Amino acid sequence: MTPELALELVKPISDGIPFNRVIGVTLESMSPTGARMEVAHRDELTNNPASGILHGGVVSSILDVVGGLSALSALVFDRELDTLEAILEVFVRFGTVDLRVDYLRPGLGERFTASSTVMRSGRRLAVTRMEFSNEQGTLLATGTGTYVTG
Amino acid sequence: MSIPTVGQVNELVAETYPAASADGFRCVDIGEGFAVAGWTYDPALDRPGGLISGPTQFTICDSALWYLSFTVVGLQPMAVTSDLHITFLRPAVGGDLLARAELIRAGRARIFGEVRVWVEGREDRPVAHATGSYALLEPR
Repeated sequence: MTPELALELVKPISDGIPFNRVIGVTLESMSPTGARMEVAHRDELTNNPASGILHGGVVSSILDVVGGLSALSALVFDRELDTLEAILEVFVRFGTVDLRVDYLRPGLGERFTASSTVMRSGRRLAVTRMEFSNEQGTLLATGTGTYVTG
Repeated sequence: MSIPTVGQVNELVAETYPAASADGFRCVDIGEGFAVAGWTYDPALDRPGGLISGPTQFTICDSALWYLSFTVVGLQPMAVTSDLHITFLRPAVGGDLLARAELIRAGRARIFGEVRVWVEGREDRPVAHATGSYALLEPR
């Protein structure tokens, strides 16, 4: 399994999820230990277009999504899931058990990156750590998530 | 603002909050942006199953974040836990605990940090991870 093949298989699934399409968040990379997503600023994602600050719900949603995808990524590499069917069979059992977000700074920026690393992937649960930054590399929020994976 | 030494931290804690150091908790390392807390294993405190208890792990996380606050505001004891969220990753068994707190952000009135906990000698297998913040009662 290569990162390129993993991305090729999972990106259509992730980017095709209706809620992800609404937000406009896209999967950009996958590895055995993590995943990275990007989203562009839009007025529809702010508390108030005049402030330009990203709504906190958007930030937490994206942290949740990227955390889940990093947990999936760990399984894709570990189990050599190299077909769409095999990945979907695992992914449909996924669910968020716990999500915590620390908002560190106002969500200002033009383009945002959400990245996640897997701290532990067990038989049933995965624990991840996520970060949300703007295009200048300013850390805006961090999160930890727990996901049921099987 | 200079970073206090391990000895200064432990002296302050012993003087201002004796209970926090009486149960085997102490600072073992401190520097720019990080602090490490240690706890001496005591089998008498094991929970059923021979596991180091959750409250023990929570306390070492809280202690490490408190020590971390000293790297930001100096040796001022009046920083208090604002929130602390812990995730237990795997069983903690039979050994001294170490917890490394790292600074995520130092604001005017709050500092944010994360903590990794492991049984000494097994740093590659963390037993818990925590994120939390300390409120600075005398804002910077």
